[in-house]
Amino acid sequence: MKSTLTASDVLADIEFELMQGAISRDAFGRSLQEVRQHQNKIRQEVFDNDQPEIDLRAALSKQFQINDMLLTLLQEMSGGFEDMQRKIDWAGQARRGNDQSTAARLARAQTNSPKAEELRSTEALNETAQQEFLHQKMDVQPNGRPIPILNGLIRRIRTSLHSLVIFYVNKLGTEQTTINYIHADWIQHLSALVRHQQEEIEQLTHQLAQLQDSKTPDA
Amino acid sequence: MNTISPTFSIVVNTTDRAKPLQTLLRALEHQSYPHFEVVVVVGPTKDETLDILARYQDRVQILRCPKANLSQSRNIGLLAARGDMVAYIDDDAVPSYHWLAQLTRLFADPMLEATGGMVYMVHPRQPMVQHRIGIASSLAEQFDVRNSWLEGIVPPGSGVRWVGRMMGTNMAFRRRALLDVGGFDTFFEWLYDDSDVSLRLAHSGKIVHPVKEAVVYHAPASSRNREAGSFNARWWVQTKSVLYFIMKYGPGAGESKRDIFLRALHYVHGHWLWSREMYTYGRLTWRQFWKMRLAEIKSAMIGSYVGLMRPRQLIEPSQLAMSQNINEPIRPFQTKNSAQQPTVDPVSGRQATISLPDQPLRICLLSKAYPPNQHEGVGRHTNLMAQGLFECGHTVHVVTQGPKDTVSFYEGAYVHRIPSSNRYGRYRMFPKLYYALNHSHAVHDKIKRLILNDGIQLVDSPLWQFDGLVTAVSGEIPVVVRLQTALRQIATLQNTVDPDARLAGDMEQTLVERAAFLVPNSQATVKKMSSVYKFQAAADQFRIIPHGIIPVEEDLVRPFNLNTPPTTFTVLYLGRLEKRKGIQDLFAAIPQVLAQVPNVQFIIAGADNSHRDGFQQQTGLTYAAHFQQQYAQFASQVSFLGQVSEEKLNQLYQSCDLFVAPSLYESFGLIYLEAMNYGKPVIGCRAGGIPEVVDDGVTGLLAEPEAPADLAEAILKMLQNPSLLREMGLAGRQRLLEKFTHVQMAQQFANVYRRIIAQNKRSKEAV
Repeated sequence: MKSTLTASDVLADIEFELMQGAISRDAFGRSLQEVRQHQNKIRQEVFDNDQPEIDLRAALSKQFQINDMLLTLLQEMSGGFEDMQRKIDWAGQARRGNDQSTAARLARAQTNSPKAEELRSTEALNETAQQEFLHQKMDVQPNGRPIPILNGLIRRIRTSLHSLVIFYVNKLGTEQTTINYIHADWIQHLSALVRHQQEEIEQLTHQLAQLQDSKTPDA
Repeated sequence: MNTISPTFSIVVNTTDRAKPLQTLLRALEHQSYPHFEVVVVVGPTKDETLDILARYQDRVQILRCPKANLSQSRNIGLLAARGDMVAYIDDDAVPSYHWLAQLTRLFADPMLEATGGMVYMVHPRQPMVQHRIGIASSLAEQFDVRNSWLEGIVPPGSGVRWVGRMMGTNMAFRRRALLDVGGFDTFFEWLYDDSDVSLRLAHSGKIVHPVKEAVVYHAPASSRNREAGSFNARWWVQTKSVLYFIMKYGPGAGESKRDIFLRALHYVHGHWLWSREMYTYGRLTWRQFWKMRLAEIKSAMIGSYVGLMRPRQLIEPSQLAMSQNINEPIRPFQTKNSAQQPTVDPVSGRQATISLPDQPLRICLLSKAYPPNQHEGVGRHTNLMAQGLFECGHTVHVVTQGPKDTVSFYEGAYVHRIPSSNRYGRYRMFPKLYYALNHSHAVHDKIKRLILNDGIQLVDSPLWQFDGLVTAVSGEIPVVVRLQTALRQIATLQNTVDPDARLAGDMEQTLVERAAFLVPNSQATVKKMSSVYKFQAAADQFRIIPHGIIPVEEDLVRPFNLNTPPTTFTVLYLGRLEKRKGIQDLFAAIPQVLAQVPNVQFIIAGADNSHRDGFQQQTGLTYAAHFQQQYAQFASQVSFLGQVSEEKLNQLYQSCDLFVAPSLYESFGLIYLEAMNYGKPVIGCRAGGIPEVVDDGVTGLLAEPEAPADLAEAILKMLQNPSLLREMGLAGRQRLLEKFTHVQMAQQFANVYRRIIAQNKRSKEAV
């Protein structure tokens, strides 16, 4: 490895690490692991035959702790989804590239709150963009210093190894994209629900105002 | 709620902290999110707080709180707030540039009712993370600094209910939600008010979620409760709050009476023992010690009694109803001139003296080593740039290496110290590459956070050790690269071109290729880089900016009187003792000088590098030992000081008559500038960037490299003509003031940065 490592290999590694950071699955995975470990520990404490019988208060307390962990995780996930939604909006708009004013508005939305109408207007774009992501493939360009006689062989081996790694990366990427698609779908579903609820609240407020008006002595 | 842009009311509670308050108000001019008002609630103050606020009376709501009670003061601010959200910040803290923008982003989640970001303590003497996604229990246990979402969510304490908590220095709420729970409980006159409100919100089913973003920089100042930088504080007020807290929450959260009693006992006993410890270590006087102990007992009893027997002291329902109906627009704090204001030092409150025609920039400088811990070349240059940029009004962040994540404000810049990452374990067999790459990735992770929180617009990286490589590869922000000496250049000079050095050199080359712009420090560097890296940049891709230093005060420049010239001359050499610095040529020149002018004392200061440049292997001696053996008859007139402190260095410059550094190569030659700063004439060689600094025959003399006779001749010419020493010294000082100050250097860099930022903006818009 020492003699064949090139700047291109190091650069490819840096890009791979950057890509991993962008996916940011590590933190989520670690947190799930923590919940599992904690639950296993509690299970052992509660059901292990050698342990003295645990009282109801203690058992409930432990259950609440697990609930708190899960709630924290859900809250973080919710924040993550919102960020992702904004990025997808932006990417979708940037891809289309034919509406500068909307793109600028969405770029602003990265720091401001997302607007319901913006979400609505980009739903179709999201879908298109996500479908495109699903069909993206990564390729490898072998690059190395020429070595007499052995060069061809080494290049073939390196290309094969790279292809193997890239095959799995592509596979993982496809799976991740599918997961993203499901997440985005859920977010859209939730945002539609929120909109619906907002409309209902507005209607009820209006009805309430009418009722109050009808009850005043003047009326 | 306004569905277009939510509005914020920033509430600041202050008593007798006029200076920090002024700093905060200046810092708020720079918030990127403009839709906010400022409400300042002033306690029973005795200093000039009201005079300072009078200057802001047309754009700040100024209210009074009759008592020095933080919760009461917070409630007064809350009742007067007209924004959709209420954000609290301490009067001795300053927010990051995107603080409100980040809070706005978080509040876009309609379910979130309260949040708060990270708090960094930025005092240079005690930098630390003060708060990061903290949690609090129903038994008043607090974990303030956590790394991950779930870390310690079931900590080893006994508290049953754990809830995310914000620190009072940096917390934000939906106004309506905070009013719904009755605001702050005024029993908490200081501390635990933040945890209490977090628990009450959580108990009423609202989501409280502290985060790592929305950073606030805290520089704790003294108050009636605490003396900054000491342990002398009214800790018993905290005890009173804690006992009250436990009594209020413990039973409702399902704690057993035994647990509640034990927690209360442990807390008071802990403070009791702690006071003893502080007295033993001299942190408290005898009087303070006993006052604390007695007050602890009394406070514990009051806290427990009121907690058990009395109702909460919340905002009156009638006041709540009135406040909930407030629907007036906010009075914006920022004016059209706000964006033009220079940055402010969060610790001292100092601002730049130079007024800017354009908006100040937000720049991130990189340097693996940085003062005050390390004083090597790149770090010193970066530090001078930071000071210069601050003097021009720009906000500067420096990312450097450190044992843990801290931020301190040091000499004009926020210095972010970060530990290295461990991502590239597979390159462990290439140490140079391994350490530099891991650091570069850690730097990139930090830069991402600085983009998010502090809105940095550009990164400036030295070429040396390619700190900015990963960021340049990511393409997230433009990276300007300062070209000075390169790893590959040194490897070539020292003849150590192993695979590790080759790869490190390749990474430097990649950084040069990926840079948005290049800034060499001299024409000599451009030439050298062209040969080392086959670098053929077009004229519009680089600009030479010479180094600059801080001019010393005029009274430190003391040229001798021509009527009474010195009877003994002092010649100073400063630099590492190694071949590249020309130390052997100086050794050979000294006997020739002393033979003709015997009244000369040579001082040689700098670390001996004979074990690295092969001299010791060749001769078996250090440079100093070699000189003393070879030229024994002159040994008494040559002093070897070894490595010296910064203070000693300045003394040496000040007291010498002539400065000599016959380096075979210097990319620039900062040492000549340092001597010129004190009005001293200099002698160097016609090599590298030295002729660009030393004006031959005007500010000093130049000799041929590796020519001891030529060097001796130049020294003699100076020493035999004292008027020349004086004239050239003063001419050097004048040249420095005209061309080589840190502010001039920073202004040139700022012009480059502004151009690159504008280019980057245009290209983003085009996409």
